[in-house]
Amino acid sequence: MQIHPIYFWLWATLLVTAVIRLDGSLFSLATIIATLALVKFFPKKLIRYQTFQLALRLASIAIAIRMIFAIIIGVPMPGRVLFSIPEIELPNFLVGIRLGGEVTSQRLTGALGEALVFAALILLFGAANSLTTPTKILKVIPRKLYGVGLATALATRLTPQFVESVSRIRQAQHLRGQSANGYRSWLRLGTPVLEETMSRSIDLASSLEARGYGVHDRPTRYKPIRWSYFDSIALLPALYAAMFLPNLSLSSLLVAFVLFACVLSPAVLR
Amino acid sequence: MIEFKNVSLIYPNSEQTVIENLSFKLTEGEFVLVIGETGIGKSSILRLMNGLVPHHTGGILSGEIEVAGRSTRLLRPGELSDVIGVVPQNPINGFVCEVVEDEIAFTLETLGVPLEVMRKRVEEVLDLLALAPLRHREISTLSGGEQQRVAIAAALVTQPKVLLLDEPTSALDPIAAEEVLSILHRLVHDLGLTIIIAEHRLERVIQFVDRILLIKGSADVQLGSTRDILAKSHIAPPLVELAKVAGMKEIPLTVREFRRSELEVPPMRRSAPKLSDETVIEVESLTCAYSDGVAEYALRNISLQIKSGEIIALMGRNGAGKSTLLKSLVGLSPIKSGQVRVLGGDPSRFNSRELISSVGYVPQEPGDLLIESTVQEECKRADIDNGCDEGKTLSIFTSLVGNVPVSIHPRDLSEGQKLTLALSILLSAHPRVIVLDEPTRGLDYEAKRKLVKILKEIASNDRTVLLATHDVELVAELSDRVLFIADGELISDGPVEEALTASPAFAPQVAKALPNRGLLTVSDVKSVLE
Repeated sequence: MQIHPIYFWLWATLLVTAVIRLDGSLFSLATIIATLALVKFFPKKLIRYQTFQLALRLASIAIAIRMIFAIIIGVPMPGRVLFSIPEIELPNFLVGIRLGGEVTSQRLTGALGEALVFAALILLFGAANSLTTPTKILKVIPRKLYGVGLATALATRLTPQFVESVSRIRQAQHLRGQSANGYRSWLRLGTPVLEETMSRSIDLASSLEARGYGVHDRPTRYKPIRWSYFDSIALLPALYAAMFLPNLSLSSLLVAFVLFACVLSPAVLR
Repeated sequence: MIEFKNVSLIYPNSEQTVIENLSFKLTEGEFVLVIGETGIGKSSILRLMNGLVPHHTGGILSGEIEVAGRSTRLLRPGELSDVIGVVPQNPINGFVCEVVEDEIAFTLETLGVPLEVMRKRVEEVLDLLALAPLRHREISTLSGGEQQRVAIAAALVTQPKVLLLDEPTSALDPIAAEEVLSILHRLVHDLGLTIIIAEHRLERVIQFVDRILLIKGSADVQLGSTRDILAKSHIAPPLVELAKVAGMKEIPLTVREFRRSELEVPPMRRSAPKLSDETVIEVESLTCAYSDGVAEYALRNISLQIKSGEIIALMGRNGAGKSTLLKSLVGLSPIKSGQVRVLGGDPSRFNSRELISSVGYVPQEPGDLLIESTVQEECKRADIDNGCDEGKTLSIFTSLVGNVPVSIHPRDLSEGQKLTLALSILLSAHPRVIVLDEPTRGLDYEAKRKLVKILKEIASNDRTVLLATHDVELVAELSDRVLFIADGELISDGPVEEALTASPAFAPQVAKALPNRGLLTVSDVKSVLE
């Protein structure tokens, strides 16, 4: 069973809606765990793993930054005092803001809740991105948007080549005995990389031209992928979470079940 | 099939015509080779045939070009894509999709061919080029020869009458090149396709082609049978040069034809080259990982010693580990175990001064080393970087290539000149070792002859030259010792005549034509006949 390329984007959008609507640390944490599980159990060769790793890194940075700020800056909050750091006196007009001082448990848990929401959003879109290939999206984009889709696909095709040129030309600088550290070396990199990207784009454009791109008004599709019933059914739990999932005051068991279904449905129906 | 009538071409802002008053006619089912020095307009002529020049590149065209009865003047290249298929010089830059099958179907999609027809055509082409086992693979994971086949398949899928190929074998090892060319040969015979190919390595193609289009200058273009053109051309493969040296009346096109002449040539006794005792490079049970971590090892347990003054060729298939071994000499390979010593030191710990004064490394794209906007500034920059007297790099460069305007952009130099500029920059730092990765890509015979001369001179100055190449003729001309690498392991290491006569795929033309005599090059034969 082939999953429709748009599926994971819809799935992620729905779950993101749910995370924002419910705005609770429990639900966010559950989504994070569930997303990690999905990526873990998904067939390895269908995942662009590096993209997901990037999302993971971003998510951890988001959590770290939020926690550091929670410790250093903040409004005084009640609660049990965990530890305290030296406080810096601020001028009078900054009433209510504090730098340093006592760190309470409530302040930390509150910040953690917010950080988890951020992390969940990043991971969901990261997963959607790494579970779909851009060129496959190109194939299902409506005909009227074909040009837009093609431009996107070409950009994604040129990006890895760009990365490759950068590392190759940095190696060449090393070979010429120029130090590869400091902002100067990056400045010297600009021209050759730009030139190479330009000449590659021209090659690609002339290949497109020679292969009749844009000549015919109604291009056809090779091996078209259609939206199937399975895709619709697999999307139902996520839809439920986004639209009808009751408040978290209700049984958290229900939440856990819905999330379980949200995540497992694509893996099971694959 | 293709007709040029009084065609002239000039690019805007240029004073030189690329083509002047050119007329010729190619008939259906012909296999035509276009030859000429680099930069003389071979690619322009190919691109004129499908309208990329002037529609895509610009330029002013006069005269008339007809392909299968249609004039290219009025049609855009895409509108000709059902009669003319193109395989560009670097197929990897022209691929649009990620997967083989999708790439092949791309042209059909844009032409709006119905799905059922499309499925059938793609299957046919997959079979024709034996690509069926690779159909779901990602193109970036394929070898050079396989990518070339995918590009040919993508061009053939519209069932064109003409196929254009721009240097299809220049990046391929001898075996992959043979494979691609024999497929082309079959296409001409089975499908009645007209094929036009531009190529520098004549020794690989002349046995397959019917006619040659020789470009000597913008107004001097000749079309004739392979034999006639090669007899008077200054560009000729070793076999033809050999026939000229031997004074044969009829020019042979294949090794078989040459052997039938039963020429009497005595064997050659080679004296072992005198080597100094100083060991410059020492590699000890070196094992390297792949940088991307996909396959297990790029290199496995390699040990070798290289002495001062040696010229060594490193051969092997694409992806066998040649580049990894070369890069380990400048400390750019991820070493798992073992060690590399260059002049007694570990190259990965050299600072930049130590590095450039011990190893000069010319990468696969010599242009990577060039960063300034004129040749003169490039040389000045090198003087500063290398800490030598002002004007030194420029004087090395002019002594190697003769007079070249120094105010032009390095990218506007010919391939050979670019390579020489990169070499001069490195040489001004006085390295003891010169390393070249695939130096002869895109070089014509004349540029190669110059390169051989330069490298021999470098080696005679007590320096070591190490190069990775697919070009057996170059190896025969240049090197004393050959290393073969397969699948990351060193499988042979010996003198050049032993290495190049061991297997027919890696034998130069002269060794095939006059076997078992220890002869490798035309100059060897000359010296024996005298």
